[in-house]
Amino acid sequence: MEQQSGTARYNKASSKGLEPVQDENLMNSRQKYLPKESVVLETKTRLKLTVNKLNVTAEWKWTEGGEDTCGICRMEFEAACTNCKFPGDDCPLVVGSCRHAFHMHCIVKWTEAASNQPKPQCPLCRQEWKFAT
Amino acid sequence: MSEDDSMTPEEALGLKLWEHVRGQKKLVWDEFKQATTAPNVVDCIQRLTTVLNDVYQGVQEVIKSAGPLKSLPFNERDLISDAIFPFRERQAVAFLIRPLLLAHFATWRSVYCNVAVEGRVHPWDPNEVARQKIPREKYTTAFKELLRCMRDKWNFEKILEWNMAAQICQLASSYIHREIYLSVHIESKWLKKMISVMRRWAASISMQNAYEAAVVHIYRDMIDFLIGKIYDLVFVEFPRSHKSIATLRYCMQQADDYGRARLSDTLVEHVEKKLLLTAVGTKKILNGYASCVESLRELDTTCVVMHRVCNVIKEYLKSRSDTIQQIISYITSDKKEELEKNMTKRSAMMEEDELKDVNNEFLPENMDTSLWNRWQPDPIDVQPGDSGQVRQGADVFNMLVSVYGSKELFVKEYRTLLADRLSNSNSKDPRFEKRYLDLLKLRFQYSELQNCEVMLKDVEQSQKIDWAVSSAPIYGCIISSHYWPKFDSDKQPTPLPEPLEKAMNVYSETYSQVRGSRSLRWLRGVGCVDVSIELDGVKVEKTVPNMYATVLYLFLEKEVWTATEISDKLGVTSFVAKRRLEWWVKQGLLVQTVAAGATSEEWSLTRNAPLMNNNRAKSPESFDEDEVAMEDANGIVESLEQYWSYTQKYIANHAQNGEVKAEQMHRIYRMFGSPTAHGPTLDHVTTFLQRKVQLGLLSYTNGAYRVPEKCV
Repeated sequence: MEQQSGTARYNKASSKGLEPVQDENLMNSRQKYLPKESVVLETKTRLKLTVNKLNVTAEWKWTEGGEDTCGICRMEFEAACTNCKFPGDDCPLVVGSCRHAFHMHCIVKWTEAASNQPKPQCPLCRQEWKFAT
Repeated sequence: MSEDDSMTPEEALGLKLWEHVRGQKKLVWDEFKQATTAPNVVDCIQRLTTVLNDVYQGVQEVIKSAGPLKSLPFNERDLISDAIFPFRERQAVAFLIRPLLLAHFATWRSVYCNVAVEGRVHPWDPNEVARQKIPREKYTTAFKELLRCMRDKWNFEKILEWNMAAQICQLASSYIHREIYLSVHIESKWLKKMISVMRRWAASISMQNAYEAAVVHIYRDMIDFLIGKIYDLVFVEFPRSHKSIATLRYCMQQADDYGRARLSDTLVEHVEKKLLLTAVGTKKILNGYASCVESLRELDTTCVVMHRVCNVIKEYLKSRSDTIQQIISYITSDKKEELEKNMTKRSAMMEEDELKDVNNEFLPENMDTSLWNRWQPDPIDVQPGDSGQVRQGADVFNMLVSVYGSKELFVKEYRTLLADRLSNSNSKDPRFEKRYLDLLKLRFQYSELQNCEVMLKDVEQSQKIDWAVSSAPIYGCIISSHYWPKFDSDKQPTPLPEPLEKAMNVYSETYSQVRGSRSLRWLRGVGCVDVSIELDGVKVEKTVPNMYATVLYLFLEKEVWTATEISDKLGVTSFVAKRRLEWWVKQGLLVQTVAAGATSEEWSLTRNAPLMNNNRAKSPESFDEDEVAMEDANGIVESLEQYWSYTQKYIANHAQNGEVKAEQMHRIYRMFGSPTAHGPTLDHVTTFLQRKVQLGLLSYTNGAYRVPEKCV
């Protein structure tokens, strides 16, 4: 396993649910422009409310990693690594078997570096680096 | 008589001639006077010519009768002209000659410029003359004969010339006034045409010199006139005044930049008097600023005048607290279409300060020497050290951004506004924003706008999730919080009514499915909701910010609430709770009641439901920024404490004269702040500094703060 090239590892990582979902399929599977039904709220008073459209905001977080920064690029996990422009799917997060998380681009670069061959280690705990299953 | 004896025969002749001509003066003047009553009748002109010829003959005879003489010590023609039309009576002479010239102009115009100026009928229609069927050819010949006689035999050249020049000026100015009366704004095309008519008229009676002398004054009069109303042209009527501006530019080119200094002085004076007043709204000033940039750019391609006037406005704008907000919304919403058109034309923006004192000729853009023969020197009123590159590259956009002082500040503000628009507004339009952002990229470096780009992508991607969740009318905006400005949201979010919470959970789950290994954290205070509110059969559609909607949902449970109950329920201070309740009172949904014997105020649903309709016109999205501000004010002032020791040392050691104004400190604090935070406002800084004054750590005199001696 350790002899595999970086690209192969990337593929391996992707196969574990990190690959971006095909947005186009998602969009086509539903009727995009169908107006959604309003919601009538339950009431105990004279006031009756019907919600026609709710605009809400949320911030996303990786389920792994916690409130930390990437140990390699020092950027937040929710931000993109230094080589990427867009966070999220374009710059995913990976977790090693040692439970340390990094931006995938950062750790791949690290494990591929000549000085870390043939047995790349986690830069934080020096255990052998393996993608967590 | 001894004096007579001592006179040479030539002198005696001179005296005799003088007397003789003086004797003829009355005759000549009478004849002229008579001619003025009917200056366009050929007979009159011919008789005048005859009389002048007769007088000339008489003079010649007198000279002859004196016998052979050596050369005369005087020019007899000068003498005659002096005797008959003396210089000191030039005013009167003008009255004699003017009708002749005018009559000729009228006739000439009806013959040679039948479609006179613009083809309009003149109020004192000189074509009337033409209709009287005067034999035109005959008249013109007769007039030319008269002029030749006056010139050659009498040496009236000078008198004729300045009369002619005066006539041209007067005619031109009456034409101009008529044109202003008829069409308000004068086209430069019209002016050129009018002036060319004057030139041709002067040429037709070989008076080019008079024309040359007069034309400068026509331009100057025109400039003076337009400068008189320059404020209206630039600030009030632009772009309708476009024609007048073009005319002014043309005149100034022709008249060697006459009145240029006065132009900028007048404008600055008027701007200070009429525009930069406390009573004038910032938006109006910005409008004025924009039209000032555009119109003066047109007027003066070197943009020197523009910068001078704009700097005055800019300095004033900087002192207003709402300027920055206003500019951003002005650029990105009010004027976006207009600016969009122009934006593509120009290249990236340069910081003004960076280019200060740089020799323009060495900038990379100017190393291309192919256009060397079109080089123009800077005008004389330019500021030394001013970069022509920046000056001439300025357009409305650049000038507005430069009010900020720096591009970073602008980008920061733009981001905040964009965030607001994308998350709060009901009608977000990421596609439009994207296009606009692409345009901004032309002006800014990519890295400066990267955050904004991520924000837009977030919104686009959230819309895809929106389509996937069809169970409830929920539209999310999933943000990458690192790239967005911080949102002010409630510390302890109150859950929304159950069906909505459920919908949000569904949304969350869908999101986690679609985007593997990611979860959502809701910011419940941000965004807005479209609701139909029905009370006693009255139905109202409203868009309500979520912050206020939380209060609304509570009224589904019971009809009467006190501020304390609400503040407990929502986890906000009772002050904030009251503010929100009052917002609903303004909307007509709630009424404030003080129950008999109750200790606190209560709010209940109104009994007068139709009142809600009256308030519909009120802006549905009036997000109350004050509320957030009030909440945060204390926090921000507290956060300034961390700079206190720095502030103290700064005032004591670095400030000019050892004192600072609150504005100065405000600027410094803002530099410290992170780009995402709103940062302290001037009010916060003042509060902070005043607090220090109360503690005796600073002293406050005449608006400036200093460190008292004992504390240094």
